[in-house]
Amino acid sequence: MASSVFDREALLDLTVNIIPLGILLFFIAVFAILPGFGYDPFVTTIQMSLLVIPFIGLAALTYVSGKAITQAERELEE
Amino acid sequence: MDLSAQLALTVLMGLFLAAVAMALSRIEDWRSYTPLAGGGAAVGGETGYVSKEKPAGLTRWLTSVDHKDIGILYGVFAVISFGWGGLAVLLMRAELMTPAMDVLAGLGGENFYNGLMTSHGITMLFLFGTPVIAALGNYFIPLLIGADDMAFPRINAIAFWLLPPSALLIWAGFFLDPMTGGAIQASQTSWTMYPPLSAAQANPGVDLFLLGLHLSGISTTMGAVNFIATIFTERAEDVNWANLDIFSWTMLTQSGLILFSFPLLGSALIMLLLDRNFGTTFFAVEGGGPLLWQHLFWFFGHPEVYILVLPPMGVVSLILPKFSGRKLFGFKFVVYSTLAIGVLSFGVWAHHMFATGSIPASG
Repeated sequence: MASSVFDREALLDLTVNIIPLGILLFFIAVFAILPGFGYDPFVTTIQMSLLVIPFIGLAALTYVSGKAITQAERELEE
Repeated sequence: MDLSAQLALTVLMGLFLAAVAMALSRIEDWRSYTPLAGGGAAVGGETGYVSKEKPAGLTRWLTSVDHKDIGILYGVFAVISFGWGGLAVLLMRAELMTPAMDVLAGLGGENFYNGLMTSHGITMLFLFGTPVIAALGNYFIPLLIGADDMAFPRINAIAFWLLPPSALLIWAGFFLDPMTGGAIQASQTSWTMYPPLSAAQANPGVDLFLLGLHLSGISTTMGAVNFIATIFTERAEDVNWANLDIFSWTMLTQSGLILFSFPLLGSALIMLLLDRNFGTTFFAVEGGGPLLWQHLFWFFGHPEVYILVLPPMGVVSLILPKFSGRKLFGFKFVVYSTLAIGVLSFGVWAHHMFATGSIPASG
């Protein structure tokens, strides 16, 4: 993990968001390897987008909010 | 009883209730009970006139941009709407006590029941639920984050004042039914407004209903923008992202959800209005299809349920620890997971569509 970006405590707090990210990754992987509903360019794109876009969104939000909160915590300690 | 006698009695009852309200307000100084009165009438004397910028009486309530006043206005409006929605469901439940159409038989029968069903759902969600959360938010968020007021006080006021007209539009069919002899009836589309029924129902009350719903969505979106701007920019020096209270976090997430979902509802409502009145085929079988409405509506509808539940969960997470003297367990977990709900709730709308028959796993 990027422990240079977040310290151990922050990473622990962020675990709660790592879990859904992990679940999304699991299903992205499973459906990429074993297409459950056949392959159709349009349908499969929609299906995978419904996994990939929330993944990207949640990852981005977790990172941005994690940085903002850890930064604010450091300011409080000063 | 004929219509004119009913109207006369209603007006008389209204006058009587107004007289009761005036008497109650003069019996004692109710404002002396609340320490947050802002040092107005309690300090300045009996006139209640605070300053040139803050008038008293009816003018105050009609023109105030103070967040506490607007919170109270939202609250009063929400309670009145709760009464309407509650009355609707009581009538429905009374009717359902027996299999036969009896209780509502004289009031319009099955059509009236369907109208109540529609009105109860929409009123409870959009005219009670969201406004009562806005009441709590507007009153407490500036106090909790140490701000003077909301970021945009006048937009705050107009956002509230859009609600009474939208309520009148949503409920218009009920009022106009006896006045127009049934030419305009209450909307009988159910609160989810699925086409083809909602597109085909030849009842102008449905159009008024849709317009009112759209107006209330505009109000809610403006409020959401206000909350986001306030929480981001109006925090006091000693309030930062690390020690922001949990209620503010949930209001912030809720406002983000509103920002991205309510405009879509508005668009879908416009499409439905166009289908109904201008012959477009957004939701017609030969055009976009009825399923398109369900996708659009529930893409809004799922974030909507989180819009309704996140702030109350924030209130519980704020109040229980305060009153029990304990810290909230896993405060930062709650913050991050609330934000996660904000993002993830946009991907799951299909779980409202199991009855469409187009999901292979569920037959």
